[in-house]
Amino acid sequence: MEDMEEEPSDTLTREDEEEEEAPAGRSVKRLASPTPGCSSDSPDAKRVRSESPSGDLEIDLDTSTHEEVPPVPPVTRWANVFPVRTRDGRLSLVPVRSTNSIEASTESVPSNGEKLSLLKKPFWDVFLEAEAELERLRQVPVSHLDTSAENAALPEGYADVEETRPGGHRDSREQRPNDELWTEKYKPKSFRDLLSDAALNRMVLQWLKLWDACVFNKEVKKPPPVPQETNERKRFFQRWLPELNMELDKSRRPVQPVVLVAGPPGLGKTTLAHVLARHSGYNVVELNASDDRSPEAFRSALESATQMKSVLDKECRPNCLVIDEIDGAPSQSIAVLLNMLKPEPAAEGKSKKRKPKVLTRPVICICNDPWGPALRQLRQNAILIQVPSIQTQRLSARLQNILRRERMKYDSAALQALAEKTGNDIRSCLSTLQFLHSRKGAVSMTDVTATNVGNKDTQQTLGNVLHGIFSKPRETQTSGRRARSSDIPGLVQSFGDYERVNQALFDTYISRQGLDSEMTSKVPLSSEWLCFADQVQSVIMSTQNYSLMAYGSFTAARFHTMHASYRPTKLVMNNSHVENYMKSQKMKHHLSSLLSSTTPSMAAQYSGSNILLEVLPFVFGIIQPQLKSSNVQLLNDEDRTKFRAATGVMSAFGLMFQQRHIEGRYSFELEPNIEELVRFPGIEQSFTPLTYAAKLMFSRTLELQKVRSSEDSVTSTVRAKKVTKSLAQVSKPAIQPERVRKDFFGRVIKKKSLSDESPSQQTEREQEEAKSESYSVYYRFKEGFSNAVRKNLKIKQIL
Amino acid sequence: MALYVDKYRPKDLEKLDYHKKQASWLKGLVNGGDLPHLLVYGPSGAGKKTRIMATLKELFGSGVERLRIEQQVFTTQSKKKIEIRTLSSNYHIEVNPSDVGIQDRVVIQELLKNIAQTQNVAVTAVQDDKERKKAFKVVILTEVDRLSRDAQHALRRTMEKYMQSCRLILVCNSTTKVIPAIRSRCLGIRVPAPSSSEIVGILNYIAKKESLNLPQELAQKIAQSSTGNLRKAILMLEACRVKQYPFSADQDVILPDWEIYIRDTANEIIKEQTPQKLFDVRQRLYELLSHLVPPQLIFEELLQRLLEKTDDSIKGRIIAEAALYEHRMHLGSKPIFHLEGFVAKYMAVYCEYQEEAAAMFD
Amino acid sequence: MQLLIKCAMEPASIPEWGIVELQGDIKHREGEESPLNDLHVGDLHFTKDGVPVILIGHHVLYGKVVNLASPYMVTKRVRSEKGTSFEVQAVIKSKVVFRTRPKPIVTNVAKK
Repeated sequence: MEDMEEEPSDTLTREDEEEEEAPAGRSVKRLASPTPGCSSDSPDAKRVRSESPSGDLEIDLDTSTHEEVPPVPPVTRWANVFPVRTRDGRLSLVPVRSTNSIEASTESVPSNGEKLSLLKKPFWDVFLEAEAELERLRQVPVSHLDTSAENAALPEGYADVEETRPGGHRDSREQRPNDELWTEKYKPKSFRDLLSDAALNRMVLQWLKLWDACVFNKEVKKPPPVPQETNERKRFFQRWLPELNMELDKSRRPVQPVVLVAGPPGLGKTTLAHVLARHSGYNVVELNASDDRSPEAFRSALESATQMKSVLDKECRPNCLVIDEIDGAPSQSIAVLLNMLKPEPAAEGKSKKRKPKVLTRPVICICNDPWGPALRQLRQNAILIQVPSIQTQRLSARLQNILRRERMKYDSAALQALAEKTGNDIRSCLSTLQFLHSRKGAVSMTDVTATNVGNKDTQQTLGNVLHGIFSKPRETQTSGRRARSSDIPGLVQSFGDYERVNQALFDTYISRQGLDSEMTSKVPLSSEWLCFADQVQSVIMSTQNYSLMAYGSFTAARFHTMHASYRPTKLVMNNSHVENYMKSQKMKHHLSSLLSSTTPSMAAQYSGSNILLEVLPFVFGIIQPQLKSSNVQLLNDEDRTKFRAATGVMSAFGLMFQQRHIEGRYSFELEPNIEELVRFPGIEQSFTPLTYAAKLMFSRTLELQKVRSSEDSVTSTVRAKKVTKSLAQVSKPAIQPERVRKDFFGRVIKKKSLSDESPSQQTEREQEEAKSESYSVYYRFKEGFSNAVRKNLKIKQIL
Repeated sequence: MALYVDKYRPKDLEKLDYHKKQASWLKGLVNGGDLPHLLVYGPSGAGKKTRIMATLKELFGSGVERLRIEQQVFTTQSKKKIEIRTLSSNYHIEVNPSDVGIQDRVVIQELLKNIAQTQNVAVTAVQDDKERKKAFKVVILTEVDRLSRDAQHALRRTMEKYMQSCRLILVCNSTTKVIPAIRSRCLGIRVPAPSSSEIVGILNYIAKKESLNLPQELAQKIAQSSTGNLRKAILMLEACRVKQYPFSADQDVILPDWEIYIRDTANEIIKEQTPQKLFDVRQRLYELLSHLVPPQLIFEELLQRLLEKTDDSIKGRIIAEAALYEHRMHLGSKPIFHLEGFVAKYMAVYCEYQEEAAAMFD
Repeated sequence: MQLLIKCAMEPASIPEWGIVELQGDIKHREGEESPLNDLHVGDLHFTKDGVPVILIGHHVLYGKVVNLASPYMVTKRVRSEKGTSFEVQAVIKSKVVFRTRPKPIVTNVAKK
C-alpha cells in the first residue's frame, strides 16, 4: 500500500531509538548491527538507508535532540565516507562499506532468519507446519465482534499485534497470520454493517428483489412504504436517488436490468454489491479491472456467469454479475453488455436458429466516473446511482469502533481530521490507521497531518475544479463535492489539462456577479494572467521545455484569490474557443475553394490575405448590380454593360450561383460562398441583394460563358501552338497538351467547321452572347410525344 | 470583362503612373545586364506585383502573360505530402510558400531545386534578337515575411547555390521579418504607397476611360479612405459605380464590412466600460477572428479608431499598452486573450481617467 | 388498286437499312437552308453495351435500339406508262430512337 511508503528518515529515527536501548557492544558502524530483537527486515532497512545518502546527516541531527545521546560530530562516526553533492547543492557524506563489513553484518543476522530460510528445515516439517497454520486460521472466525477470540488463538512465538514493534521497513502485505488488512478484516458482512446511505442500500436491494421474478420465480412483493423521512431529507435524497422503475417487461425481467453504481473510490461500492447480492441469495461473480475484458473474453464471461451455475458451490445459488471498474473497460465490451441487455429480437419465428442471448441475471456495474464518454450508452440503459460520500460522523464512529477492538489509542478529533483528509474514504482511513497502529500504536493529530495519505490520483472533473476555484469554502461543513480550496494548484494539477482550465476560466470569470466595481483592478489583471498563461503555453509547445508546466496551475490559483466568492457563480463551459476554431475553419475552406477556382490571370494578382480583406468585400458588391429587368434580352444598354461586367468578374473569379434548397424554398447561393466570408452580423449591407430571378439569369449566363470560355481556351491554345511552336520544348513539365476535340470515347472528332472558320466569323461569334455555336448544324429538341402525330395520306400521292 | 483594377493595370514599365523615376531605373537595370535577386517591399496595394510583372515583361516579352495554375506535390521526410499551387508561365514561376504553414522550408528547398536544375533551353531560342542569353528563370516568392526562420535560412543557402539558373524576386510588406542574410543578398526595391493626389489622378483617368462622370470630392474621399492603397481605391470606385450611378458628390464611400465592424466595436468600447460590455466586445472579436482577419490588423485598426476618440493625456499610455499586448500576442498562440486583455486595459485606463476628471471637477 | 412491288435483287441480298429517329429538328445555323447539302450532321456511335449515342453539334443524345413491330421496306417509285411500280431498295428491321433531351458537351474541363 502506498501509505506504507514512509520517509527513510522516519525509519532511521526509529532505528536510532532502538539502538539507544540496545545493549552495548555495538560496533561503531551503525550499519552493521541490527538488534537481536530486530525483525528479519534488516536487509530492507539497509536498502532504504543506502538510497538516501543525504538523509544521513539529518539522522544525526535528529538523534542529537534525543536526550540520551551526546551530539557527536558526524565525520568521526564513520570511518569511510566520501562527500557527495546533492541536488540542492549541499555537501553530504556517504558512508562506504568495505566488503568485510557486509559479511560481518550478514553473520550477525539473528536466528530469526530461520523463518526465512525454509529450506533449512526438511520439506515435510514445513509442510506439516503449513497445514497446522491453515487449520488454525480456518477455525478462527473472522468477525469484528470477537477480537478476544483471535487474540487467544495466537500461538506462542508470535507477538501480540499491539506489542510488536518491528524495526525497519515493514511491508504490511507480508502474511503474518492474523495480520490481515483491516480493510478485509472489517469488511461488512451483513446489510446493517454497510456504511453507505441507508436509503441507497434499500433501493439497490429493491432492485435486486425485482429480479426474483425472473430468477427465482418468486412473486415480486411491493416493498413496504419507506418510513416517512422529514421533507427536507426526502428532497435531499430525491436529488440524487433516481426513481426505481418497478415494472417488469414481458420476459419478467426488470425494465432496467443493469444498475450503475458510481462514486469516488473507497466508499464501499464493491462491498455494497457483494453484500447485497449475497444477501438476496445470489452467488457473486466478479469481473474487475484485473481480468481480461476484451470483447470476446467479456462475452464469454458474461455468458458463463449468467447462463451457468457454479458447480462447486454447494448451495446452488444463481449467479449475480458484478462488473467492477467498468469505466476502464474497452467500449466494445460495454457494447457487448448492452447487446445482451436488449429484449429479445423481433424475429420470433426464427427463434430456433438464433438463440437470443438475453440477460437473465442481475448485473451490477461499478465505476468511479459515470460521466465518461465510454459509459454514455450504458447510462441510457441503466439506473445510475451516485453514491454520495459517507457521512463523516458515521465514518468516524465506525473507525472508533474498530480502533477500540484493535485496542489502539485514538483521539476523536484526529479521526475526524483523518476522515476529512482522505475525503471520507474508508479504505484509506483504515489502511492509514493500520499503518499508524503498526508504527506507533496510537493515532494523534500530528500523525494525521503528517501522513502522506489522501493524495489519490483521482481524476477531478472540470466542473469540480471550477467549483473549487470560484467558491470560497465554508468552514462549517464539507459539502458533497470536494473543494480543497487551500490547494488550488494541487486541484488543478490533478485535473491536468491547463489549457482547458484556462479556457473555462476565460469563459467564466467575466460573468461573475459583482465584477462591475472591480473593473479597473481585477479585470485587467485577470486578462494579464491569461496572457501570461498563453505565453507560457506557447513556449512550452515551441521549445518543448516541459519544465515550464510547473507554472500552469498558478493562473487558476490567482483567479481563485481574485474571484472566489460565497455566492455561486454560474460556470460557463461552452468552450468558445472551439466554436471559433470551427467557424474559422469553415471560412478557410471557403477561401481556399475560392482561390482554387480563380482563373490564372486573376490568381496572379491576388494572394490569400489581401484578397480577403481588400478585394472580396468590393467584389461582392460589384457582382450585385441593380438591374431593371431579369431577362437578358430585355436589358437596356447601360444595364447590359453592368451585367456583362458583373458576369465577367464572376467568371474570372470562378464564382457560380448554385441552387440550394433551403427552408423549403429554392434559392441561389454563391459558390464558393464568399457572402459568408465578407458579411458580418449587425452591419447593414450597402448593396441590395439580387432577386431570385436576377440570380437565375446570372447563373444561366455564367454556365453558358463557362462552356464558351472552355472552347475559347481550346482555340487560343491551338492558335498559340501554331505561332510559337518552338516553345513547345520547354523542359518544365505540364504544358497544357493540345486539346483536340475528342468525342465520348476518346476518338478524335473531325470537325471541319472549326478549322474552316474565318477570323471574321470568329469575331462575330465572340460578340454573341446567348448562343454558343461553332457548328453549322445543330439540333433542336422538341419536348412531347410523337405517337399521336397523324398525317392524312391520299393514294394518289403514292401513285 | 474584368475589374477595373485589372483592366487598367499597366503592363509595361513605361506605362506606370507613379514612381516614374523608379520605373525608369528598373528598366535600366533590366537592359543593363545581369539581374540580381530582388527584394520588393512596400505597403499593400502600392503596386509591387504590377511592377514585377512589368519588369518580367521587359525581360522576357509578352510570353510572361500566359499563365497557368499547377498543383505541385512534395513529400517531406516524414512521408507527408504537401500540395502547393504555383502560378507559372514559360519564363517564371510564382509561389507563396507560407501557404503550407510549417513545412515552407521543404517547399522552398524542393521547388527551387527542381526549377534551378532544369535548364530552360527554349528561352534562348526565342530571344535571339537580344544579345544576352537569358538562360535563367525567375522565381517569385510572395509573403516572405511570413516565412519561418528555418525556411529563410534554407532560402539563403539556395539563393547562393543556384544563382546562375534562377533569379529570385521576393515580395513582402515589410523587411523587418526578413533575416539580414537575405536582405544582404538581394537588391532592395521599396515601392512606397502612392500619394492621395496620385490616386485621384488615376481614378480620374479610369473614369475618363470608362466614360464616367466622377466628381472631384468623391475622388478625394475615396483616395483618403483608401489610405494609400491603390487597389482598394479602384475597387471602391467600381463598387460605388455599381451602387449608384450617376455619382453624387456626397455619396458614401463604401468600406469593407470588417472595417465598419471594428469601428463599431471601438465605439462600443468607448460608450460603456463594464464587464458585460467586455463580454460583448469579446464576442465581436471572436467574430472578427473567425472571419480570418489577421489579429495584428485588428489591433492596428482598433487602436486607430480608439485613439481618434481618446483624450491626449492617456493616448501615450494606451499606445504603450497596445504595443505590449501586441508583442505578447505574437509570442503566444491565442490572440483572443491578448486582444481582450488590451480592451480590458483600455477600459480600466479610461475609467480611471474619467474618475480623475470627475474628481477634479468636484 | 394493285400496287406492284418489284424486287430487282435477290431476296438474300437486299440491303438492310436503319432508321435514326430524332425527336426534334435538325437546323442549320445560317438560315433555313435545307440540311441536305451534304453537311455533316453528326456522329452515331454505339457503346459496348449496345446503347446508341449520337453527337450533333455540341450535344450528345442517348437512345435505344428498337426493333420495329413490322419491318419496313424502302421502295423507289417507278412511273411508267403501264402504271407505277415500286422497286425495293432496302428493308428496315430496326430503328434507333433518340427521345431524351440532349446534353451539352464541355470538352475542356478545368482540372481542380
